[in-house]
Amino acid sequence: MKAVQITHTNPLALSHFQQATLSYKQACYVESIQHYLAGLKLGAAQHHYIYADLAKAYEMIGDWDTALACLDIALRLCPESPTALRRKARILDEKACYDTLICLDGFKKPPPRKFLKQLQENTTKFSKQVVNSEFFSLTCHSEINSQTVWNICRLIYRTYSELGETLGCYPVSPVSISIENTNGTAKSQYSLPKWASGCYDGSIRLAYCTAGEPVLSILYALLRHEWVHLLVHHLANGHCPAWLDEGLAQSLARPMFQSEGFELQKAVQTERLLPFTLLSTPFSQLSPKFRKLAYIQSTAIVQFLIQQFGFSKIRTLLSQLSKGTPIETAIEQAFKRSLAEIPLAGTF
Amino acid sequence: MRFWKKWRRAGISADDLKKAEMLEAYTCWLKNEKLSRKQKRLLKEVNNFPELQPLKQLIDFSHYRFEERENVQPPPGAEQRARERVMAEIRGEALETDTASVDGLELQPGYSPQGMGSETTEIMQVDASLPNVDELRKWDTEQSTASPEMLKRYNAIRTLSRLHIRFEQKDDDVYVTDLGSSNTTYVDNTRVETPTLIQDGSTLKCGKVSFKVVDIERS
Repeated sequence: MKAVQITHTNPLALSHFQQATLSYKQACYVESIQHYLAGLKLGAAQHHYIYADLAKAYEMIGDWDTALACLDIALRLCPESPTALRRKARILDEKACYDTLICLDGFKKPPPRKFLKQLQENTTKFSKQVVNSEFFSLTCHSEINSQTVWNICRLIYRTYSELGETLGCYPVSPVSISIENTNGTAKSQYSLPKWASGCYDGSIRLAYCTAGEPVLSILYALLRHEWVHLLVHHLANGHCPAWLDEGLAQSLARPMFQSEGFELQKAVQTERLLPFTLLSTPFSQLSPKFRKLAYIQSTAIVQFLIQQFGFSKIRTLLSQLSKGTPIETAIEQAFKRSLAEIPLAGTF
Repeated sequence: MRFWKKWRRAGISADDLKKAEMLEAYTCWLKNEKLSRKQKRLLKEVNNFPELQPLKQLIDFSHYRFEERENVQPPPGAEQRARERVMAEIRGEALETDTASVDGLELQPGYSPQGMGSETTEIMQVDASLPNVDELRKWDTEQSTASPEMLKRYNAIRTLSRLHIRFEQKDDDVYVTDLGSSNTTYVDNTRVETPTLIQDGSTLKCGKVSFKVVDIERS
């Protein structure tokens, strides 16, 4: 690797970079980007690692194109930088995965007048936008333009139909969904851990961090993830182990990234796979080191179950669990296999 | 909606029961079932009760959403909750959504992990002084331990041009043409300079990425 030798840098630029790293660690990505850009404006334009980290901050707000442009600059400054290369590969993969989720061309139609009227009537002095429908109640705690709110409503409807059909279950009462831009505020104020962007705890709460409008495809994946939690909770009567619940949510939310596949492959090679006992603990209680692997492993296990037995058997399994049947027995009844026979890394 | 009859003995007021029967008559009519004389009479009265309109809409919604999904199993307790909801609405009582707990079990919140990046990947910590070459190298080495295979694959993909090759069909044959790519194209180790014929089993090499022609489907 040929790193660039740094000779001098403007001290003000340096302090901006320090602020940028601090903001990044607090998950305030927009603020972090602003500091990186301010620092770059003052000098230090030859440091590849600044561009690589700026790209990472852009990645976290879902602005993949700018992130890739930053990585191209980083690679021009240091063509062999493994970090920049790896980030570029990962971001290209992420972008492709999210692009397959929705076709943005279909989301350009303006909202109908009736919808705009309802949105106007429900806007309070706290600039909340509320949409009440027969099966959901959407509250946007941050200012979002009406076109995006309309598109989000369409995505909720799509989620309702598709996941309802897949899991054979529809919510009985309207689902409460709230969306908030965490830009400028710590996520803890929104009672979400720093590592999470969504939560289902009786209602669905989604968070995003951008300077403007939320990225629809990311929001859609989050919504699908939490909607699966909602349906699984009803189908299994609250008796679903964490690995099955999270695995189903992740599998139905979005395709697995290549980087996640590699991480799992690495865990297999180094024999670091988590056992079912650990995978049954709520993932929020796991240490960050295990949590990411727990999500990936659960997704791989559930994808294996779906491929081998199909969704009808998954529904049977959830139905068995709803009766209070222990997971070991429920798996035997649904798949005619013991829990020990289910591979811990799915098809990997 | 056939459950109203069971409630006759449950101490429900005659007014509530009548409204429930009206809704049942409406449901039967919607499902094209044969109506009794009483049901026909009740059906004519439905529109005189504006408070029943939201429930009518609910029935319409359920009917059109679920009519061809006989195999869909409602979640446990759904029927009970639907009954309670309908009765609560008839009585004009505030509806409490019971999603927070099921059977007294405390709901474990389910979280979505961030959809982008990697939680474990750290950015470069900028201190009072700028990092020296060794620190940078360490940063890059720590980061690169994650996936050498991915890097290898990425490096291979980088050798592809945006417009690399074109396939053309002439009669029953398929030809490949190199579109002036930076890293050239080979068919069975022969450089492609003019349109070159490919066959089942041919190996196509674009930059460092190789493809094997498995089957050419001729239209």
